Amino acid sequence: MTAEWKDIVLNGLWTNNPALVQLLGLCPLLAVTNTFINALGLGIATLLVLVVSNLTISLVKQWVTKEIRIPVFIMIIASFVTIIQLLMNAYTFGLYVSLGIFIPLIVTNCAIIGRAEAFASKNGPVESSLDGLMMGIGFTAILLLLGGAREVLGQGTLFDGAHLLFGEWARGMTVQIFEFEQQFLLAILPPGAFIGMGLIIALKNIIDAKQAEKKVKDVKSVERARVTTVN
Amino acid sequence: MFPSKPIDLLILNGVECEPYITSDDTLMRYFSKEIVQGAEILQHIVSAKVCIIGIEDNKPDAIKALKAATKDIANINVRVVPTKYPSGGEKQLIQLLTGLQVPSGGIPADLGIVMQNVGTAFAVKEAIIDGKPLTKRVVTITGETLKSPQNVWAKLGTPTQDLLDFAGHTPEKQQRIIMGGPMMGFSILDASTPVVKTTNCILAPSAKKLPPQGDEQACIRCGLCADACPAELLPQQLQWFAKAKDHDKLSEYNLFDCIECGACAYVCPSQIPLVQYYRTSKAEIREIEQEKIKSEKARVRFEQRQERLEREKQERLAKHKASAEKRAKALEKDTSAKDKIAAALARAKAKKQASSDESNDSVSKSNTTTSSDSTPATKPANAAKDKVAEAIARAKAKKAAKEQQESAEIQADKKAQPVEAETTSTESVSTAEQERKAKVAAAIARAKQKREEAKAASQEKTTEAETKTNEPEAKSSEPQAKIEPQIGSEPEEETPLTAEQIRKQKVAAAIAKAKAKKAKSE
Amino acid sequence: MSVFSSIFKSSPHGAMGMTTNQVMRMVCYATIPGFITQLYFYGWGTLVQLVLCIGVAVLSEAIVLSLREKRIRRTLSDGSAVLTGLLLALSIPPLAPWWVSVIGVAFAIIIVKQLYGGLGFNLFNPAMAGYVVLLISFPVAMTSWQPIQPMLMHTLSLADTAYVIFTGYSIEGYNLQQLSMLVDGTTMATPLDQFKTALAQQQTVSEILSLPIYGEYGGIGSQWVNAAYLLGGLFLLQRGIIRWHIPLGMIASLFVLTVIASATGADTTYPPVQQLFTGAVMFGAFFIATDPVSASTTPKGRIIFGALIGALIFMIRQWGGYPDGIAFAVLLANMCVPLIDHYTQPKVYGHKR
Ligand code: SF4
Ligand code: SF4
Repeated sequence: MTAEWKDIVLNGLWTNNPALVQLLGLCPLLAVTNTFINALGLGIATLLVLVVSNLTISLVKQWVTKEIRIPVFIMIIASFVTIIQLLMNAYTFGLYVSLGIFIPLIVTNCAIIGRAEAFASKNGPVESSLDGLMMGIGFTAILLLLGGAREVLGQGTLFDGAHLLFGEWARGMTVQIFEFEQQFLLAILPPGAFIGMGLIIALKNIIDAKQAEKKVKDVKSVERARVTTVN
Repeated sequence: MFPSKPIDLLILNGVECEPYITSDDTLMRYFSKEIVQGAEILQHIVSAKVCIIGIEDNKPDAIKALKAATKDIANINVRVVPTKYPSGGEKQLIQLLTGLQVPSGGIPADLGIVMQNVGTAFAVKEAIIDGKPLTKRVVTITGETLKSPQNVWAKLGTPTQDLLDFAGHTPEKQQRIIMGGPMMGFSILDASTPVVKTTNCILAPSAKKLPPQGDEQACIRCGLCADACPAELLPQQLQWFAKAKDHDKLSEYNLFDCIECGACAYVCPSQIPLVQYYRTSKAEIREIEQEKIKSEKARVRFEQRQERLEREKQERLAKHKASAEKRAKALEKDTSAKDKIAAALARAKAKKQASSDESNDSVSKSNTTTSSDSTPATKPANAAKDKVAEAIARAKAKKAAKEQQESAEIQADKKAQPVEAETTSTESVSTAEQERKAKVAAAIARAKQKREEAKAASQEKTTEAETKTNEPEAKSSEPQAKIEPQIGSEPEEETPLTAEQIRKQKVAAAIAKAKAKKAKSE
Repeated sequence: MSVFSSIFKSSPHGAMGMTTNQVMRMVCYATIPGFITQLYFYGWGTLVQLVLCIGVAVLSEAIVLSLREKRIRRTLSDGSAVLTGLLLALSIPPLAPWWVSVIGVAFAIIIVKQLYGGLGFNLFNPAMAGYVVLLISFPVAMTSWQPIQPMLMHTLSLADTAYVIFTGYSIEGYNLQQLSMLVDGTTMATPLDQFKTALAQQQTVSEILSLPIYGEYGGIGSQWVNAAYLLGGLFLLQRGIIRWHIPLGMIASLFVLTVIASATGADTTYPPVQQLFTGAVMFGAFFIATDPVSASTTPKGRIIFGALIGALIFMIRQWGGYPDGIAFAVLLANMCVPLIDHYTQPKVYGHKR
């Protein structure tokens, strides 16, 4: 049981990361990661939807026939998105405005429907919620990484607009890292998101390759040891 | 081999193949009469209406000489073409002179054109009018490291070194000697390499004048190669695909229309050895195609063999049935020896076994020479015993060989090693049963033999013995004789075995033999 | 029996002698007339940028090559990094802050060139991709070309120029804005910018062209700069380093479209000659668009490629948001190259099509 859980965790965070490996949900990923706080807002929203929709779907899966499963899944996801949207409208209005259309668009985020289809519809509620949580964290992590990097490069700040999410007290959180005369617009504009995303994926591949290399080396040395004992 | 069209035009190629070479030029200057005579003979042979002699415009003397020689002949014209490599190529000269292009994969005769070199025309004249065989040719010896570069009559077979010495060669460090021209010739490693019929030039360049290609750099897609290519290919695209081993794309971009003239590599600023890439790729593609043909052949052979084995099996079954019926009838008539029935039945059974062994035996004899070679002539004392063991061994060898063949067809040659191992291991599993069966059969045969030894002294083959002692059996040996030739015909089909396969069969046979020995010792 | 050298290479046994390194060097030399003219009209800034850009280009190339474990010396010696830096330096405003150049060059070399596999593999013209990145990211810095030197109130010494580029202020403490002040105390945009703004203010073309920043054939500085690059380009043509297809295709299509537009349309187009001698047309035609790696390679394809660039420049100048569009045009045309190449393969000998 624990091994399986470990798998789920690892899958969501690294090996099958929705943003880095499955390349799902790129549209919001690229569009709203111009600041850290925007990324965080959308990340949390997506995370919540992922967890509850995965849970719900795994609970109702035995009553959903194969033919109508997609509409049902979308209905479930849409309801939760609406709830989140209303909540954000009520409590974090600033962020709600700045994320705009991308909140309702969470419904169409392939990462969510993908997990519903690939995981929640086949597994129990506990695993499904865990999977949703991990996938959500994995997705949010990439959002934050990209958002943070773009914000720092683009306008030299970090946590700009934190008050939109956390309320007025968070105004002071904004950190000015560089002082630019001119913003580095490329980082803030969509092309910057693509380039940044590409670089992050490249980084992950490098890390994976390095690890694979290490593994091969280990295996080799073990083999050699065995050969000598046989002879 | 008749051309698809009547030949209208004979072209004599007086365009030097490559820069540096002047052998044709020399020939035309001094032997224009002979060349024209040769041309007339050629023209007569191919019944071409017109003959054109194409010469580059940098050979005024040769042009003058040939113009003079053809003054009075109406249908031989001298045409001057601009000096631009590689106009000396067959296809390029045809295009220059006629504006026609030889279709891809075709020959000039498809256009009604025959092209010969001026040297050939000269040799034709020598051969037909003077009756002299071709024993010498004009060779250009040139290059910056020679004291007196010149054209010489060289006897075929003259070592390169002699020619170089003759021209006063002082080798420099890392001297390159090129046989042929700078563009398409090949470097020779050994100075004793002889002059052959196609040697038009020995080139001993200095490294300064003809610098060896430097290190390859990245292609910058400058397109110079495409501009230079006489076949109007896109050499740099071909180069990408050649590096990527993308054979489909290579064919799509007409790699096989490349005449390997070297113009592209010559102009390439990144010094990419383009021609080398093309040659490698062409060889690879050819190899793959040959491999395909080979495996196709092997497949057909295998299928035919399967079919034949099946047919033989059916025939044998039919024969046995028939003979069994006959025997039954005969026994019905001959009621006097009741106890013989049991014996006959036993024999029939043994016979069945022996005959099938026998047929395998003869097959494997023709198939694998070593397995029969390595078994020495058996002594009469335990001849039968040995033979049975031998037969088993051969049967097994045969089976192994067959499996080898199958696997050779399915698997690429390189993979053969693991497969071989696999086959032997599966065999060892499956043969345990077979061995048991074979041992039973051998026991029966031995028992029979002893009994028959009492009746007849000379025994060479179990079957022979049976033919002599048993009348019904004698009849059944007749169909066997009929089978034999069919079996005998097998070697003809099997002969195109590759050395590889034979080796494998030998290995398999050896394994089988070893096993047989083991079985014997048990 | 003697044995010859074991250098056993496939034919041909020689090369024409013009290597890639020489080609690149030749292109660099050919920019000299244009470079000098730029120095004359725009001050020392171009020289500072040149040193800065080439330095950064070589450095970033070396870094990436060492990361990729390639042979650094040899690859650097092909001169392509130097050329990229040079071209970018010549297109950046002379007084642009240093970090602008550094970002542009590093992006061009690292992302556009080396990440795609280095020389020969890049889909886009590195210099122009770097330029576009800068233009998008720092529109203000990238469009503030100073008016030509003779019209300026303050002219800068070399040291002063370097000071401005690295600190943003001259030694006397003037900032860029003040330095751009004309003799009469006003400021003025670049010819192409001015044209757009003036058109928006309902001025006619002839009114605009009578402004002091316009010379007889184009912007008062840029007409000579263009002429100088034309000269350099003709040198390259004569040396056989570039082929005529791309420059001719580009200039012809730009010219023809301009003629058509000024003959038929409203009074919103440059006169054809001015069109060619303003902005970076000649520079683009002979030095940028002819970059062999990212251009089309078939003869017919090159003409189409050039014509496409010309048409795009016309469209961007006429209707686009940016005053000049050579970089965008080149990049857009780069994208079309595989398509162009595919459909313009020459007819192979012996094949009927
Ligand atoms: S000449 Fe050489 S560098 Fe130029 S395109 Fe051809 S292969 Fe590439
Ligand atoms: S060797 Fe090069 S130039 Fe000559 S035909 Fe082949 S591709 Fe064309």
